[in-house]
Amino acid sequence: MIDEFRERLLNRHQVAAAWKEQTGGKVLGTFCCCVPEEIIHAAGMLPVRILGEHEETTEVDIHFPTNLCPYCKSCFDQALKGKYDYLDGFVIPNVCNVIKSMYGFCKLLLKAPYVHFVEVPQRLSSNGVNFFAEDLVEFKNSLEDFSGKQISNEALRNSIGVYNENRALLEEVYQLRRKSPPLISGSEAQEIVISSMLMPKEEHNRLLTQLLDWVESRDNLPGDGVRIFISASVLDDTDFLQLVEECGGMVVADDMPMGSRYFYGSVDSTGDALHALADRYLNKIACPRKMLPDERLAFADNMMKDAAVRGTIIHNMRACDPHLYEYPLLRQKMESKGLPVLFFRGEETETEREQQRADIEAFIEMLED
Amino acid sequence: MVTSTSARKSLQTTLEVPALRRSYYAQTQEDSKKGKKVAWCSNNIPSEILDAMDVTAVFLENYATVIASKRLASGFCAAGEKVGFSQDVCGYARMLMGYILARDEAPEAPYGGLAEPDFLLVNSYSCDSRMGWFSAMSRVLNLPLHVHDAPHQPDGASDSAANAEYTERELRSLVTFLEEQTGTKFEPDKLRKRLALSHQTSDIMFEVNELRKAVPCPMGSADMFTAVWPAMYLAGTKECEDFYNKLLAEIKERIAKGIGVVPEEKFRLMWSGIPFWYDMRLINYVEDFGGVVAIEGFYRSRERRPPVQDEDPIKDMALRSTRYRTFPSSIIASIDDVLDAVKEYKIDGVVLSFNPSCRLAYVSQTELQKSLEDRGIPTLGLECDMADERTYSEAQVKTRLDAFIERLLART
Repeated sequence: MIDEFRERLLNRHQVAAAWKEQTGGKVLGTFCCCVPEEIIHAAGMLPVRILGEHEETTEVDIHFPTNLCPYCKSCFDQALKGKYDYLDGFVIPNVCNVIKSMYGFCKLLLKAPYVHFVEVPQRLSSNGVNFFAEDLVEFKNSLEDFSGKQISNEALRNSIGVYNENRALLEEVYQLRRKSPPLISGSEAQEIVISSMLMPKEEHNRLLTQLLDWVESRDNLPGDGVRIFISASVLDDTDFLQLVEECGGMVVADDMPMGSRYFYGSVDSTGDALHALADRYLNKIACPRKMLPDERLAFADNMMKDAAVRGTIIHNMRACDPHLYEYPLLRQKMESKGLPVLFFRGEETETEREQQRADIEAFIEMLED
Repeated sequence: MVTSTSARKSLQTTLEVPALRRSYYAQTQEDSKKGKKVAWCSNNIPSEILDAMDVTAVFLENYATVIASKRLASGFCAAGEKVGFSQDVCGYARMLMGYILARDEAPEAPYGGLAEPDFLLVNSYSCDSRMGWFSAMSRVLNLPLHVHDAPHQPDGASDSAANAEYTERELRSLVTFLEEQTGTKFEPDKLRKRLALSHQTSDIMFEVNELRKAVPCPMGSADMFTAVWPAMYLAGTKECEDFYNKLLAEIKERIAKGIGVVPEEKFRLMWSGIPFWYDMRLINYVEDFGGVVAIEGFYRSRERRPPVQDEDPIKDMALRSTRYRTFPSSIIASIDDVLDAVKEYKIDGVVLSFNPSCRLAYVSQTELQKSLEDRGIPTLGLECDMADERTYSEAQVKTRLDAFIERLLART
């Protein structure tokens, strides 16, 4: 059953391209957790998250400097290699300096026919939510112009419903990791979450429902390793979690944009739809970009609740500012709970894996003692 | 111990800046002792509003450059690293976190240290680093922090009413925060006066830059990287206006007399990116070969201040900043900007500094360099941190500069 998700994740380009061919709809690439995908969905388009690859970059290095976020560089390398040629456009949110810059780079180098910038406010306030909602009207208008079709309120409400259902189901999946022994592994859970970012939500919901039925009678349980909490900036595939689990760990809780942060917190289904979306995407995602470390720590606590975690691994993509600034505090808080911390400065390369393996093995061994 | 890392200046007026700076820092200490409220600020917090509300602004990035220019950054950075801030973190932020959290381990702070803050102000729209840095400071110092937000507007100027209204509401939130902190009522008239002065200064700065197009170049970056200081930190004050009037007069006189930075100008350069504050003499190095760094990409006044948009000074500020953008907001605009400068300032080659810990400046540099080389404009890219001198090898940089100069001289 898990293979259903894995297959879609591994063949994500074919899945999106096939959807496009079957439906005649448009596919838009997005970055980060704060693009309200529901509006794209309501426009009859398919939003897909741009991901990098653990392979040598060959095209991007003449355009971007060496010591820049390896994840963003890898994503752009994939695009320059033509892997995203099926995309009809890009939606770039106002998040970090590098992702912000993608707006200009997508226009300049990819000559994309549609590139839209979403002005996500940086200060959390009712003023910010109101402005975000106004900007989402612009986003909706721009999608309508691009598709030539109006987005009705009914369509928006329907999309919010579909997405909320997906969030609720994913929360149920996450609960399965907390059991002892876990019914699914951390890397399997992450496969399921990332696949949700890449395929039609209705189909993902259908698969999730099947999974939840199936898992109770699962006979090949993933095992019961040392229970680990992972806090990460960007882990855009499941390799790292798999590595932790190969080394004897079991990831039972996380605080990651390509994990819990993607789906925790539902959209209010009453009132103005765009305002409700603005509220969820601004206020309910525990991203360090918001500069509210207490909120993020509370989110981490909530993720770890009843998970019987024994150690924390923090994985920060190199040069990811929002996460780097919160790292000292996060480390201190974890240690004050009696949770040993292992820190990684991430690259997006194959070679780093073997270096990490030894460190993780030693860490797990230390936790087992 | 390095005695001086500052660049050799060509203009008399620029030599006044160190005294202005020293007196500004002494004044902030004095203000603090007298009980005036002190705000530690990131760059781009509108100092005119603070000034109009009698708040003393201390701009930390500037202090970071002071530390760097005295080659004390590594000591402070190491202290910052020790308390958990990685070497990937902005050099300015790392050294200030070191200053705050590990003062015993850090070197002696220039100017007797900073005036103690009452609260913190950060603008969100320039870089991620400031947000993380100020948030961390607010926590460790246990002081209130106000975030000042504005839309990013990647296409530059915008007539979006929503953007202007949001900016206006954010400015009013800043005013409300300051009223709460100081107990002082905001007076629009005071702000209007300061804005008028600040606009005059900007116009003079713009004119100064226009005059720098002259051949020979009357004022190079060696002077300008220092001469921008009053505009950045004393905006809206009389002494700032006086300084720039004097600067303008001196430049006009030099042009009238045909005096350039170098006696016989052989090539003209542009400096793109943040300079290396711990070795500003590098900019003078090309002068020995008949070169001058005639214009810079950062801290440059590109246009006159937009005309007044509204009688209400807050609304006016919001409309100006939304409807006009005087700096490039995307790679496309940055390329146009550098190509225009190359043409207008008759630039023969561009030196691009790559400061990895400043993501904002760093992210565009490779594409800018490529765009220039693709058009046959010679470039030299130098990757070093803007503040942390441990990343710098003078010998290596000069060897590369020598080769670049040779390439340029061979063309002329």
